[in-house]
Amino acid sequence: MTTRTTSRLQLVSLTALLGLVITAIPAEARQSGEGNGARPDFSGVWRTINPPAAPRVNTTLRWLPGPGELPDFTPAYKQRYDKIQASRETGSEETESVARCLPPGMPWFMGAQYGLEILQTRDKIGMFSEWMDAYRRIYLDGRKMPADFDPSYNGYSTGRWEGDTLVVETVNLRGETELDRYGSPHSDQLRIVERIRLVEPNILEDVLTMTDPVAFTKPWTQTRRYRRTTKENDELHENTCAEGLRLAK
Amino acid sequence: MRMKFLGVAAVVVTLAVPAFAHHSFAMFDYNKEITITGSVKELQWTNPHIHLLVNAPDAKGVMAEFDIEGGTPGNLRRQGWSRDVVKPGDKISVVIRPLKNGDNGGQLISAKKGDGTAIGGQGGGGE
Repeated sequence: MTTRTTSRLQLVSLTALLGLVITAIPAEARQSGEGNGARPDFSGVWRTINPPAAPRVNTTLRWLPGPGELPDFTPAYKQRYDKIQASRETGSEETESVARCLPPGMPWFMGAQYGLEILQTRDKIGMFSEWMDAYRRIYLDGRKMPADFDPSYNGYSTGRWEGDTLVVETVNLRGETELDRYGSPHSDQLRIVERIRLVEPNILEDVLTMTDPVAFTKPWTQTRRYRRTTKENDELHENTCAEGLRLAK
Repeated sequence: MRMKFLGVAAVVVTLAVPAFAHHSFAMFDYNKEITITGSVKELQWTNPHIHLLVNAPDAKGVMAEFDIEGGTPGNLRRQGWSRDVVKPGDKISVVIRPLKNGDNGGQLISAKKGDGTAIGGQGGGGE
Protein backbone atom coordinates (compact mmCIF):
# COMPACT_ATOMS: atom_id res chain seq x y z
CA MET A 1 0.00 0.00 0.00
CA THR A 2 2.72 2.37 1.06
CA THR A 3 4.85 1.34 -1.87
CA ARG A 4 2.00 1.95 -4.29
CA THR A 5 1.32 5.41 -2.83
CA THR A 6 4.99 6.25 -3.06
CA SER A 7 5.27 5.16 -6.66
CA ARG A 8 2.10 7.07 -7.53
CA LEU A 9 3.59 10.15 -5.89
CA GLN A 10 6.79 9.59 -7.79
CA LEU A 11 4.83 9.28 -11.01
CA VAL A 12 2.93 12.48 -10.31
CA SER A 13 6.10 14.44 -9.57
CA LEU A 14 7.85 12.90 -12.57
CA THR A 15 4.95 14.00 -14.81
CA ALA A 16 5.04 17.47 -13.28
CA LEU A 17 8.79 17.65 -13.80
CA LEU A 18 8.42 16.52 -17.41
CA GLY A 19 5.77 19.18 -17.89
CA LEU A 20 8.16 21.79 -16.55
CA VAL A 21 10.96 20.59 -18.82
CA ILE A 22 8.69 20.68 -21.89
CA THR A 23 7.36 24.11 -20.96
CA ALA A 24 10.93 25.31 -20.52
CA ILE A 25 11.77 24.47 -24.16
CA PRO A 26 10.99 27.51 -26.31
CA ALA A 27 8.01 27.06 -28.64
CA GLU A 28 10.24 27.48 -31.69
CA ALA A 29 12.50 24.64 -30.62
CA ARG A 30 9.49 22.39 -30.05
CA GLN A 31 8.21 23.21 -33.52
CA SER A 32 11.48 22.37 -35.20
CA GLY A 33 11.75 19.16 -33.19
CA GLU A 34 14.91 20.15 -31.36
CA GLY A 35 15.45 19.49 -27.70
CA ASN A 36 12.85 16.86 -26.88
CA GLY A 37 13.36 14.34 -29.67
CA ALA A 38 9.90 14.98 -31.12
CA ARG A 39 9.23 15.23 -34.83
CA PRO A 40 8.52 18.67 -36.26
CA ASP A 41 4.82 19.32 -36.63
CA PHE A 42 3.76 20.57 -40.07
CA SER A 43 0.09 20.82 -39.02
CA GLY A 44 -1.49 24.12 -39.92
CA VAL A 45 -2.79 26.16 -42.81
CA TRP A 46 -0.14 27.33 -45.24
CA ARG A 47 -0.14 29.82 -48.08
CA THR A 48 2.19 29.40 -51.01
CA ILE A 49 4.99 31.89 -51.34
CA ASN A 50 4.61 32.52 -55.03
CA PRO A 51 7.60 32.68 -57.32
CA PRO A 52 7.89 35.86 -59.42
CA ALA A 53 5.11 35.98 -61.99
CA ALA A 54 6.09 34.19 -65.18
CA PRO A 55 5.59 36.02 -68.44
CA ARG A 56 2.64 35.00 -70.56
CA VAL A 57 1.73 35.25 -74.20
CA ASN A 58 -0.64 38.21 -74.24
CA THR A 59 -2.99 36.83 -76.84
CA THR A 60 -3.64 33.41 -75.34
CA LEU A 61 -2.40 33.81 -71.78
CA ARG A 62 -0.17 30.77 -72.28
CA TRP A 63 2.52 30.79 -69.56
CA LEU A 64 6.11 30.99 -70.73
CA PRO A 65 8.52 28.86 -68.68
CA GLY A 66 11.69 30.48 -67.35
CA PRO A 67 15.13 28.85 -67.20
CA GLY A 68 15.10 25.58 -65.25
CA GLU A 69 11.33 25.45 -65.15
CA LEU A 70 11.07 22.60 -67.63
CA PRO A 71 12.41 19.06 -67.28
CA ASP A 72 14.85 17.77 -69.90
CA PHE A 73 12.43 15.80 -72.02
CA THR A 74 13.24 12.71 -74.03
CA PRO A 75 12.71 13.34 -77.77
CA ALA A 76 9.23 11.74 -77.72
CA TYR A 77 8.10 13.88 -74.77
CA LYS A 78 9.70 17.04 -76.19
CA GLN A 79 7.54 16.45 -79.24
CA ARG A 80 4.53 16.01 -76.99
CA TYR A 81 5.39 19.22 -75.11
CA ASP A 82 5.69 21.18 -78.37
CA LYS A 83 2.30 19.88 -79.48
CA ILE A 84 0.76 21.01 -76.19
CA GLN A 85 2.22 24.51 -76.63
CA ALA A 86 0.93 24.72 -80.21
CA SER A 87 -2.53 23.69 -79.04
CA ARG A 88 -2.54 26.21 -76.19
CA GLU A 89 -1.33 28.93 -78.53
CA THR A 90 -4.65 28.61 -80.37
CA GLY A 91 -6.50 29.19 -77.10
CA SER A 92 -7.61 25.56 -76.94
CA GLU A 93 -8.02 23.91 -73.57
CA GLU A 94 -7.84 20.33 -74.87
CA THR A 95 -4.46 19.91 -73.13
CA GLU A 96 -5.55 21.59 -69.91
CA SER A 97 -7.19 18.92 -67.78
CA VAL A 98 -7.88 21.23 -64.82
CA ALA A 99 -9.81 23.48 -67.21
CA ARG A 100 -12.20 20.53 -67.46
CA CYS A 101 -12.34 20.21 -63.67
CA LEU A 102 -10.06 17.16 -63.45
CA PRO A 103 -7.68 17.08 -60.46
CA PRO A 104 -4.24 18.65 -60.97
CA GLY A 105 -2.56 15.57 -59.45
CA MET A 106 0.97 15.36 -58.06
CA PRO A 107 3.30 17.22 -58.32
CA TRP A 108 1.08 20.15 -59.39
CA PHE A 109 -1.07 19.55 -56.29
CA MET A 110 1.71 21.18 -54.26
CA GLY A 111 1.17 24.41 -56.22
CA ALA A 112 -1.76 24.82 -53.77
CA GLN A 113 -2.39 28.37 -54.91
CA TYR A 114 -5.37 28.95 -52.58
CA GLY A 115 -3.86 27.44 -49.45
CA LEU A 116 -2.77 24.09 -48.06
CA GLU A 117 -4.07 22.57 -44.83
CA ILE A 118 -1.83 19.94 -43.25
CA LEU A 119 -2.97 17.61 -40.48
CA GLN A 120 -0.20 15.45 -39.07
CA THR A 121 -0.38 12.44 -36.80
CA ARG A 122 2.40 10.01 -35.93
CA ASP A 123 1.32 7.58 -38.64
CA LYS A 124 -0.15 9.76 -41.37
CA ILE A 125 -0.15 13.24 -42.88
CA GLY A 126 -3.19 14.59 -44.70
CA MET A 127 -2.86 17.53 -47.06
CA PHE A 128 -5.90 19.41 -48.32
CA SER A 129 -5.50 21.99 -51.08
CA GLU A 130 -8.30 24.51 -51.54
CA TRP A 131 -7.45 24.69 -55.23
CA MET A 132 -9.72 22.11 -56.87
CA ASP A 133 -10.74 20.68 -53.46
CA ALA A 134 -7.91 18.16 -53.62
CA TYR A 135 -6.60 15.80 -50.94
CA ARG A 136 -3.50 13.65 -50.60
CA ARG A 137 -2.26 11.43 -47.80
CA ILE A 138 1.22 10.36 -46.81
CA TYR A 139 1.65 7.18 -44.77
CA LEU A 140 4.32 7.32 -42.08
CA ASP A 141 3.72 3.93 -40.45
CA GLY A 142 6.17 1.97 -42.59
CA ARG A 143 3.56 0.34 -44.82
CA LYS A 144 4.28 -0.56 -48.43
CA MET A 145 1.92 0.13 -51.31
CA PRO A 146 -0.48 -2.78 -51.84
CA ALA A 147 0.38 -4.74 -54.98
CA ASP A 148 -2.97 -4.16 -56.67
CA PHE A 149 -3.34 -0.46 -55.90
CA ASP A 150 -4.93 1.55 -58.73
CA PRO A 151 -2.91 4.39 -60.25
CA SER A 152 -4.27 7.74 -59.11
CA TYR A 153 -3.92 11.50 -59.60
CA ASN A 154 -1.92 11.97 -56.40
CA GLY A 155 -0.28 8.53 -56.45
CA TYR A 156 0.69 6.53 -53.39
CA SER A 157 2.88 8.36 -50.87
CA THR A 158 4.97 6.93 -48.05
CA GLY A 159 7.23 8.98 -45.81
CA ARG A 160 10.07 8.53 -43.32
CA TRP A 161 11.94 10.96 -41.11
CA GLU A 162 15.58 11.84 -41.66
CA GLY A 163 16.15 14.03 -38.62
CA ASP A 164 13.88 17.04 -39.02
CA THR A 165 13.25 16.37 -42.71
CA LEU A 166 10.33 14.28 -43.91
CA VAL A 167 11.32 12.29 -46.99
CA VAL A 168 8.27 11.30 -49.04
CA GLU A 169 8.23 8.94 -51.98
CA THR A 170 5.30 9.01 -54.39
CA VAL A 171 4.68 6.38 -57.06
CA ASN A 172 1.74 4.87 -58.98
CA LEU A 173 0.69 8.13 -60.64
CA ARG A 174 -1.57 8.39 -63.66
CA GLY A 175 0.33 9.37 -66.78
CA GLU A 176 -2.01 11.89 -68.35
CA THR A 177 -1.85 14.81 -65.91
CA GLU A 178 0.26 17.93 -66.38
CA LEU A 179 3.30 18.61 -64.19
CA ASP A 180 2.57 22.33 -63.90
CA ARG A 181 0.95 25.36 -65.48
CA TYR A 182 3.15 24.99 -68.56
CA GLY A 183 1.40 21.74 -69.38
CA SER A 184 4.60 19.69 -69.16
CA PRO A 185 3.83 16.04 -69.82
CA HIS A 186 5.07 12.97 -67.96
CA SER A 187 4.53 9.22 -68.09
CA ASP A 188 3.04 6.83 -65.53
CA GLN A 189 6.63 5.97 -64.58
CA LEU A 190 6.98 9.33 -62.81
CA ARG A 191 8.41 8.98 -59.31
CA ILE A 192 8.60 11.89 -56.88
CA VAL A 193 10.85 12.22 -53.84
CA GLU A 194 10.03 15.17 -51.60
CA ARG A 195 12.15 16.55 -48.80
CA ILE A 196 9.84 18.56 -46.56
CA ARG A 197 11.13 20.60 -43.62
CA LEU A 198 10.61 23.77 -41.64
CA VAL A 199 13.32 26.17 -42.76
CA GLU A 200 11.96 28.68 -40.23
CA PRO A 201 9.28 28.04 -37.58
CA ASN A 202 6.64 29.39 -39.94
CA ILE A 203 8.16 28.66 -43.36
CA LEU A 204 7.73 25.19 -44.83
CA GLU A 205 9.89 24.03 -47.73
CA ASP A 206 9.23 21.17 -50.12
CA VAL A 207 12.03 20.15 -52.47
CA LEU A 208 10.56 17.82 -55.09
CA THR A 209 12.85 15.69 -57.20
CA MET A 210 11.16 13.94 -60.08
CA THR A 211 12.46 11.08 -62.17
CA ASP A 212 10.70 9.61 -65.18
CA PRO A 213 12.73 7.17 -67.32
CA VAL A 214 10.23 7.49 -70.18
CA ALA A 215 9.74 11.27 -70.26
CA PHE A 216 12.89 12.84 -68.75
CA THR A 217 16.57 12.38 -69.59
CA LYS A 218 17.60 13.32 -66.03
CA PRO A 219 16.04 14.07 -62.62
CA TRP A 220 14.19 17.37 -62.34
CA THR A 221 13.94 19.38 -59.12
CA GLN A 222 11.50 22.05 -57.99
CA THR A 223 11.41 23.93 -54.68
CA ARG A 224 8.20 25.27 -53.18
CA ARG A 225 7.81 27.31 -50.02
CA TYR A 226 4.80 28.05 -47.86
CA ARG A 227 4.11 30.52 -45.06
CA ARG A 228 2.03 29.53 -42.02
CA THR A 229 -1.14 31.59 -41.82
CA THR A 230 -2.16 33.61 -38.83
CA LYS A 231 -5.23 32.60 -36.86
CA GLU A 232 -7.35 35.32 -38.51
CA ASN A 233 -6.67 33.90 -41.94
CA ASP A 234 -6.56 30.15 -41.36
CA GLU A 235 -9.83 28.98 -42.87
CA LEU A 236 -10.06 27.42 -46.29
CA HIS A 237 -13.11 27.42 -48.52
CA GLU A 238 -14.73 24.98 -50.93
CA ASN A 239 -13.56 25.16 -54.52
CA THR A 240 -15.90 22.72 -56.23
CA CYS A 241 -14.95 23.11 -59.86
CA ALA A 242 -17.81 20.90 -61.09
CA GLU A 243 -20.32 23.43 -59.76
CA GLY A 244 -19.48 25.57 -62.79
CA LEU A 245 -20.34 22.78 -65.21
CA ARG A 246 -24.07 23.23 -64.64
CA LEU A 247 -23.73 26.88 -65.66
CA ALA A 248 -21.45 26.21 -68.63
CA LYS A 249 -22.87 27.13 -72.01
CA MET B 1 -1.42 58.06 -55.56
CA ARG B 2 1.40 55.64 -56.00
CA MET B 3 -0.04 53.46 -53.25
CA LYS B 4 -3.36 53.48 -55.04
CA PHE B 5 -1.72 52.27 -58.22
CA LEU B 6 0.06 49.48 -56.34
CA GLY B 7 -3.24 48.45 -54.79
CA VAL B 8 -4.92 48.16 -58.16
CA ALA B 9 -1.96 46.21 -59.50
CA ALA B 10 -2.22 43.80 -56.58
CA VAL B 11 -5.91 43.22 -57.30
CA VAL B 12 -5.12 42.49 -60.92
CA VAL B 13 -2.46 39.97 -59.94
CA THR B 14 -4.56 38.16 -57.39
CA LEU B 15 -7.63 38.06 -59.61
CA ALA B 16 -5.56 36.74 -62.46
CA VAL B 17 -4.40 33.74 -60.41
CA PRO B 18 -7.42 31.45 -60.97
CA ALA B 19 -6.58 31.20 -64.65
CA PHE B 20 -6.72 27.42 -64.56
CA ALA B 21 -10.01 26.36 -63.13
CA HIS B 22 -12.85 25.34 -65.40
CA HIS B 23 -11.60 26.92 -68.63
CA SER B 24 -8.57 28.59 -70.08
CA PHE B 25 -8.76 32.35 -69.97
CA ALA B 26 -7.78 32.76 -73.62
CA MET B 27 -11.30 34.02 -74.33
CA PHE B 28 -10.49 37.42 -72.81
CA ASP B 29 -8.59 40.18 -74.57
CA TYR B 30 -5.47 40.78 -72.51
CA ASN B 31 -4.52 43.86 -74.48
CA LYS B 32 -7.66 45.78 -73.61
CA GLU B 33 -9.36 47.10 -70.50
CA ILE B 34 -12.75 48.78 -70.55
CA THR B 35 -14.97 50.20 -67.83
CA ILE B 36 -18.62 49.18 -67.61
CA THR B 37 -20.89 51.50 -65.64
CA GLY B 38 -24.43 50.41 -64.88
CA SER B 39 -26.48 48.55 -62.31
CA VAL B 40 -26.11 45.08 -60.81
CA LYS B 41 -28.53 42.52 -62.19
CA GLU B 42 -27.20 39.54 -60.22
CA LEU B 43 -24.10 38.26 -58.45
CA GLN B 44 -23.74 34.51 -59.03
CA TRP B 45 -21.54 33.45 -56.12
CA THR B 46 -20.49 30.12 -57.62
CA ASN B 47 -17.43 27.93 -57.96
CA PRO B 48 -15.13 27.74 -59.71
CA HIS B 49 -15.64 31.38 -60.74
CA ILE B 50 -18.16 34.01 -59.77
CA HIS B 51 -20.27 35.79 -62.39
CA LEU B 52 -21.40 39.37 -61.98
CA LEU B 53 -24.26 40.33 -64.31
CA VAL B 54 -24.46 44.06 -64.98
CA ASN B 55 -26.99 46.03 -67.03
CA ALA B 56 -25.13 48.81 -68.82
CA PRO B 57 -24.96 50.54 -72.18
CA ASP B 58 -22.88 48.66 -74.77
CA ALA B 59 -20.43 50.24 -77.23
CA LYS B 60 -23.35 51.59 -79.28
CA GLY B 61 -25.11 53.04 -76.24
CA VAL B 62 -27.83 50.38 -76.24
CA MET B 63 -28.65 48.86 -72.82
CA ALA B 64 -27.28 45.32 -72.59
CA GLU B 65 -26.45 42.64 -70.05
CA PHE B 66 -22.74 42.10 -69.38
CA ASP B 67 -21.55 38.75 -67.99
CA ILE B 68 -18.41 39.51 -65.97
CA GLU B 69 -16.41 36.57 -64.67
CA GLY B 70 -14.25 36.78 -61.54
CA GLY B 71 -12.12 34.47 -59.41
CA THR B 72 -13.13 31.75 -56.98
CA PRO B 73 -15.55 32.64 -54.16
CA GLY B 74 -12.97 31.51 -51.58
CA ASN B 75 -10.17 33.66 -52.95
CA LEU B 76 -12.43 36.68 -53.50
CA ARG B 77 -13.68 36.36 -49.92
CA ARG B 78 -10.10 36.77 -48.72
CA GLN B 79 -9.99 39.97 -50.76
CA GLY B 80 -13.05 41.45 -49.10
CA TRP B 81 -15.77 40.27 -51.47
CA SER B 82 -18.80 38.34 -50.28
CA ARG B 83 -21.96 36.92 -51.80
CA ASP B 84 -23.95 39.97 -50.68
CA VAL B 85 -21.34 42.69 -51.25
CA VAL B 86 -23.65 44.03 -53.98
CA LYS B 87 -27.41 43.68 -54.45
CA PRO B 88 -29.59 43.78 -57.57
CA GLY B 89 -30.13 47.39 -58.57
CA ASP B 90 -26.91 48.71 -56.99
CA LYS B 91 -24.98 51.18 -59.12
CA ILE B 92 -21.60 49.74 -60.07
CA SER B 93 -18.56 50.50 -62.19
CA VAL B 94 -16.43 47.54 -63.29
CA VAL B 95 -13.08 47.39 -65.10
CA ILE B 96 -12.93 44.30 -67.31
CA ARG B 97 -10.88 42.62 -69.99
CA PRO B 98 -13.52 42.23 -72.68
CA LEU B 99 -14.43 38.98 -74.41
CA LYS B 100 -12.55 38.58 -77.68
CA ASN B 101 -15.63 37.41 -79.53
CA GLY B 102 -17.34 40.76 -79.04
CA ASP B 103 -20.08 39.48 -76.72
CA ASN B 104 -20.96 41.76 -73.81
CA GLY B 105 -18.80 40.47 -71.00
CA GLY B 106 -15.28 39.93 -69.80
CA GLN B 107 -12.94 39.17 -66.96
CA LEU B 108 -13.27 41.12 -63.72
CA ILE B 109 -10.27 43.26 -62.86
CA SER B 110 -11.70 45.64 -60.27
CA ALA B 111 -15.04 47.08 -59.23
CA LYS B 112 -16.37 50.18 -57.50
CA LYS B 113 -19.74 50.83 -55.92
CA GLY B 114 -21.86 53.83 -56.93
CA ASP B 115 -20.39 55.88 -54.06
CA GLY B 116 -16.86 55.26 -55.37
CA THR B 117 -15.72 52.75 -52.73
CA ALA B 118 -13.64 49.90 -54.11
CA ILE B 119 -15.03 46.41 -53.67
CA GLY B 120 -12.38 44.15 -52.27
CA GLY B 121 -10.35 46.97 -50.78
CA GLN B 122 -6.77 47.51 -51.75
CA GLY B 123 -6.00 44.04 -52.95
CA GLY B 124 -5.49 42.31 -49.60
CA GLY B 125 -5.35 38.91 -51.20
CA GLY B 126 -4.45 35.30 -50.49
CA GLU B 127 -0.76 35.48 -49.66
